[in-house]
Amino acid sequence: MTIERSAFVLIPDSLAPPLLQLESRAIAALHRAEKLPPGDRTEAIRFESIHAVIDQVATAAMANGEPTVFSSSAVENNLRGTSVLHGELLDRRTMPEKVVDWMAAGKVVVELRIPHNPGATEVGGDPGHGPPPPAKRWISSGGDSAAAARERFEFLLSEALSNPQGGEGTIRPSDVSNKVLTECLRRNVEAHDGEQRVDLRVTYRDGSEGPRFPLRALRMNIAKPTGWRVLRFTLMSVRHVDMDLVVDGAWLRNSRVSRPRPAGLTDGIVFDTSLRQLQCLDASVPTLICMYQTGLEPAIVGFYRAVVRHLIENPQAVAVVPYYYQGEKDFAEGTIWRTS
Amino acid sequence: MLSAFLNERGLQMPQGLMEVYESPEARSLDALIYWPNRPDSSVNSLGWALRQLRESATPPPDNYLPLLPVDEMSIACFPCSALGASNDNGVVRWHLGIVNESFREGLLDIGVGEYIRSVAEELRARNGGLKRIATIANRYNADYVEKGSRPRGSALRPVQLACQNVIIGLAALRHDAGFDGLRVPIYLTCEAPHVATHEANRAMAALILCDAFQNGGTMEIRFGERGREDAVPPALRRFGRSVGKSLGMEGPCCISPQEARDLFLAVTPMPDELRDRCDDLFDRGVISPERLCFTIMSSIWSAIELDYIASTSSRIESILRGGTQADYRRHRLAELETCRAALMLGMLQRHIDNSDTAAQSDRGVRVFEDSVASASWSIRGDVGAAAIAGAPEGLLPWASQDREAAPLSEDGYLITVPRGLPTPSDHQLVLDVQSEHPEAVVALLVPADMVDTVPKEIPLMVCPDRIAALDTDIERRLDMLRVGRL
Repeated sequence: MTIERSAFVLIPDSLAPPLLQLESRAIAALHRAEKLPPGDRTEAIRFESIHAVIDQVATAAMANGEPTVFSSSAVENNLRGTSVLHGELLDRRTMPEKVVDWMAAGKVVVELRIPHNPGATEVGGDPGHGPPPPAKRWISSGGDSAAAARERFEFLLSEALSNPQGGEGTIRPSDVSNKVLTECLRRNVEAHDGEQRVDLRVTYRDGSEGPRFPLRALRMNIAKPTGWRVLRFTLMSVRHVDMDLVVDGAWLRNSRVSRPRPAGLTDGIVFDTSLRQLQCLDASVPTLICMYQTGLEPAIVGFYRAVVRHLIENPQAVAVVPYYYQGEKDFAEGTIWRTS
Repeated sequence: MLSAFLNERGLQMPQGLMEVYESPEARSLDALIYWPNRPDSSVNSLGWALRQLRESATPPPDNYLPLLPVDEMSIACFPCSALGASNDNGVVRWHLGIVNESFREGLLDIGVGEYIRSVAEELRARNGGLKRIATIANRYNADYVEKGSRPRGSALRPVQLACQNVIIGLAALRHDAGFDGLRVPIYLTCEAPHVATHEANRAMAALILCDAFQNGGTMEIRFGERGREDAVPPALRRFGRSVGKSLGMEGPCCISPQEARDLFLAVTPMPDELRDRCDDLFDRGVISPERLCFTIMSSIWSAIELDYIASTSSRIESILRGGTQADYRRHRLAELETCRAALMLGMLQRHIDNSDTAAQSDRGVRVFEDSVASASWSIRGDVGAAAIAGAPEGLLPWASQDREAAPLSEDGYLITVPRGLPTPSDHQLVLDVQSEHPEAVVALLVPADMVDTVPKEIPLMVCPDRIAALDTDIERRLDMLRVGRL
């Protein structure tokens, strides 16, 4: 196995200005990337393509015989941003002496982390740890597919609740239907006598995790409140446009939520957005939210986590009635999320 | 006839052969089995089959006892042991025509009794299965293909495997919430003269296992319909036995998650070196066997690409999870350089495998598909180079136009040093490796836009893609890993 080393390449003065221009474009792309929703890699890809040109220029300079210093110690550093060095020296870095001199002389240096140097490197992981064991077989007690899916999710959830610190102590919402997921979480959010609150991990099929979900955390009330302000939302926009006549708005923007990215990130985005929006509701007027929802598990988990957190801090500020999509303009009413 | 065959050659009676000849399963194969007591003029007599074998392109050793046809161009034979020798041979397939040596004598099953019973059971269910799969395909066509909609994992989906227009496998599958695994109501495969032994079973098993992995669930696979379950298909069990994997041991109608894991590893083609590296990764808990097999079988990384990454990079765990964040450029570059090298190596292997040598041939009609070869490789992890054997004799693939390159000889091999950003030490490495291996052709492999950075005296191969194109492909692959099942 080869080892990594850093090659510090001195960029000739004639190439320094265009290379610094490239660097500033790369930095601008990184700044834009920070403003994008998590998981949106548009600007990250732009940053990488610009930086690839910087790397190519440095490689060509090295091939042309420009001074280059190799260092293994730089492997330890964990700097973010571009690998173009100029101006002031950065703190806490193990920099070869020659590179320090170059930079003191106002030169531009590019660091290339090259992985193909002869030598032996440790592979990651933990020898003897072994792979995760295969899943245990499970069979439903009968019923149709929906009933079996509900039973499976409830089984996994009860296993997780019985040993929240164990490896299986996690909610696995992937591929669970909208209704099963919401109703099952609703049942388990309720704290009965003697039960302690449990904040369970949430793990999606892609291995990503969302924030922990508080279960056994609230005393619930199943009565629908009267006299409260009523707001109707679809959970996500542009899913069922025929609902536009029925609702007051869409809680989440589909274009922001439905993106290819780790599901745990989507869950986090929905949770942050929902919590912020719930806090924006006028606390002096309790609000009943009628939520017309379709699938996308991370959106459902993220939204109801925000509802629970909000209810923990503001018990009577809000109540949510889920409505589950069953077909064109046909929604079934679910169990209300309201504290007693 | 059978006694005469054995006595003349001093051979033992195969274990259980007489019992199986008298079994109902053998009687159901009456028209297929080469019966020893029938006249030689009969097409299912032992005498007739022995004559077929004698007249084949490559006659088998004379201890090969023909049992029944595998297809129209091959016969299942049992290599009988000499008197006093161990008698635990398996049933092998003997081709009547010309086939590559590596495909001869493929193991069909571990014993005569197991094989004949298994074939009888398989053929008994075939006609019913064919009718059902046609119905399922029609319904699928109406529900999804004509409407242009994509089925969910829980929808019953027909699949068909074909090789050169010959259908070698049909199946129907769906995710079943009833046991949180994959249900396979129909499983039909067959051998074909131009397809390697058990290849249809291997490919169908791989497809089923990939679907089970992609749909989530426990990886348990059950056969037949809920309430009317079938045993694990005999052809699949036969394939399992041929690769040393017992299927259906935890329940006759299911492949358990543990068996699925073992089978997934068995059906994923990996050279021994890569298998050893993967075992090490499993031991370290870096990746689950299912995810690694899925990564190869779904072509996110091909076997040679993954082998290169596993051999040369300490960052394999990060790469298999989708790579580090872009703003950690130094780490990211180290990963990208490994991925660029692996990607170019994979492209080179495909280029060599698909070399159109028929163009230089004087053998008349060009059948390109038949000339596809399979180059073998070995990664030198200490220097990040790959030795490739099996490249066609002649010009160095992707040889740079502006410099001389030694031609590849028939039995020679190629050592390539793939680098996205080649450094002067890589140039020196090529010369050092060449002096270590004078019998090989050694060359640096770089992207199309890095040619000018390599001195003229260094043998060079030029990947058709530029760095930007390589990085786009890498991003696509890492993206699939970021959102794929762990």
